[in-house]
Amino acid sequence: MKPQISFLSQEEQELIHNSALSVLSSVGFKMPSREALDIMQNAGAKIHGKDTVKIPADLVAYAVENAPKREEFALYGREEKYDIRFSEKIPSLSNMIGATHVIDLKTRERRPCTIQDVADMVLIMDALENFNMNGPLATPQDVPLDRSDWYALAVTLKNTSKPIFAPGPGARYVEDAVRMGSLAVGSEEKFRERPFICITTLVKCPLQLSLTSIEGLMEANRQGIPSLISSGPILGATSPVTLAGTLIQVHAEVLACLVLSQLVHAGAPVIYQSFARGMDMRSGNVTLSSPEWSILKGAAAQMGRYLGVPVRMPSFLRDSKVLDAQAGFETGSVGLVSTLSADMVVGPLLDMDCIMDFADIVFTDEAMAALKRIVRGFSIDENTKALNIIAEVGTGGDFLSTEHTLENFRREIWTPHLMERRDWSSWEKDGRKDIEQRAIEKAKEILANHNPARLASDIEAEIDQIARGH
Amino acid sequence: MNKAELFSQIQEAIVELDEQKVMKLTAEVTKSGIDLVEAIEKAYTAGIRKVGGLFETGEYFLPELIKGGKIVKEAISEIQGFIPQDQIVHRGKMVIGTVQGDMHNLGKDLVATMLETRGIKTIDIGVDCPVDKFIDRAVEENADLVGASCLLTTTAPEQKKLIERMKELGVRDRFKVIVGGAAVDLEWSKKIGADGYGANLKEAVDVSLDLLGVEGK
Repeated sequence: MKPQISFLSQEEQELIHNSALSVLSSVGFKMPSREALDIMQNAGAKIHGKDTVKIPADLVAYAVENAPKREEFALYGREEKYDIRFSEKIPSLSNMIGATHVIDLKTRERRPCTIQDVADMVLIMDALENFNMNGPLATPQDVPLDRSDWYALAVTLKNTSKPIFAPGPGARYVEDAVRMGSLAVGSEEKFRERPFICITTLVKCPLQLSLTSIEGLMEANRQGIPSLISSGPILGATSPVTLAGTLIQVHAEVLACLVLSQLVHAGAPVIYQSFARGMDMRSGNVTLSSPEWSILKGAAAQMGRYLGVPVRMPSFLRDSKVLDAQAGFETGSVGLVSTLSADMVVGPLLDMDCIMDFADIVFTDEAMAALKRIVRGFSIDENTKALNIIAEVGTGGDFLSTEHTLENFRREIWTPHLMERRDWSSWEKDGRKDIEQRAIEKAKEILANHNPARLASDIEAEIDQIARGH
Repeated sequence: MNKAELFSQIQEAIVELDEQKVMKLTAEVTKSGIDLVEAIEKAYTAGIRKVGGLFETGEYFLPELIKGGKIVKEAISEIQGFIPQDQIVHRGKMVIGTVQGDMHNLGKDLVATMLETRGIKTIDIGVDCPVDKFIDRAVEENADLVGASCLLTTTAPEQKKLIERMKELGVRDRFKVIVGGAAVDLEWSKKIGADGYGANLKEAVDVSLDLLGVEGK
């Protein structure tokens, strides 16, 4: 069986769902867009005050029914070999977005992210097999800031053919993403057949969407682009301090967006995500790797699965500033819960998602490989029970030289690339390198040698034109 | 109860976050004939400073600091109702808001509340504020300090614009400017020529007090 982690019984999931329904029908959800309000009203929702929609349970049921389920859901790559199917049991790994700074690969100093950094990080993730989605982990600061998301998308398109995960700041961005993506594959028709850019819609907690987000979501729904719906309240700040109350709010918020998306376009592909996070009660900072964060990821993933839609959960967003023991613990503890509960996990960033470290990308690829091995569990059949071989070797023999070991060890035993497992003296002779140093070396090697599936230079130039706003 | 006892009881009630008790004692203060301006300083501001001290030593957490701030803000505003308008003395005046395109209010609100408890008059102009709104209000109120908050990287340039616009209008020297919010850092604040930067609630309050020439902590 596939191991899974549960924080909620079936009964508790129903309780959370029903409580969320009651929040939506009694408190409602703010949608400051005339168009969205009209769509909701025409479908039977009631408008309260200026722009709050009270959403009845039957509308939610309609939306849940129409939303594509995980079994039928795919995220496409520019190259088909990178397609992601959510029916698979093993979770995939997606890039995060939105950091502002990077740790320089050479100097190891923290500095603002540049457009070249975005090209480099995307190239590294393109090369690493455990990254299934690719995109700008950080936002470039050396381009016109009002166009930074466009520049980042352009440079992403040029450096990867994996499915792209990008922010979705409004309708104009979504339109331009379609234009850029269409250029990359030759025509709009081809892009629509296999849209390979997924955008994100962030709920403004509690219980509202900004006009820009609404317009971005509706545009993505119309264009058939998959969209991620993400609710990220802060415990005790933008949602109740209690985990149950926060989970109810998260679920209500995702459901409200789900309703809008399915009314705009029945069958619009959406992914369930929650950034519900803790707040450090000393500093007031958010925490993205606390124990509460892990619990909320696991529980929210269950609520997404309850609806049957694909679930994506941020996982490798460490509070630690650098790739140290704290970051390692945070990677393992949150990663284990997320990979055991979601279809897709997300990372990697440091400093509460403000810093991107090139070495961390390589480290996370390795950590993800190990976590996937745990999720894969093991199967019991004639071959794996190995009764014959136990009998053959008998008492006191060895298994290392048997055919059974030779035939099965690669599938059964995961072997790391980066993690140190040699003896002390070999490690010492090799320069006593820790995992950060080894990751830095690998990142440099990838940057020097990896060749992504490039676009033709005239296409790249046209994509750049769109990025610049022409 | 003599004055010293009353002040000490108020301080204690503030530290205990006992809202009812503070308001009850506040009613006594307003009836007692005690110098109200002195009471604000020696009972209420002193009380919230004690709460701040407990926060710094890790005994109190953010929700407790905020509760203390709210209690003191409410009590001070109650007392001010009994002081003739021309006798209300503020230790400084600040216009505070979140920049245009940014709807985040939590950090800004907390900074405003905590500064109120320290005798600073804060004029909160809300979220999504164009730079001219900051400047117009600051001029109108003859403010000493302007605080601009932003949480989004894409809206950080608004802080720069604010300072540039102040220079353009020839009013840059009339106000100190402090910037804050998750999207920006000290480096940025220096680059755009702000007078101060607050990385968190405590720093934003301390730096503001410092810029206003009011003794911090």
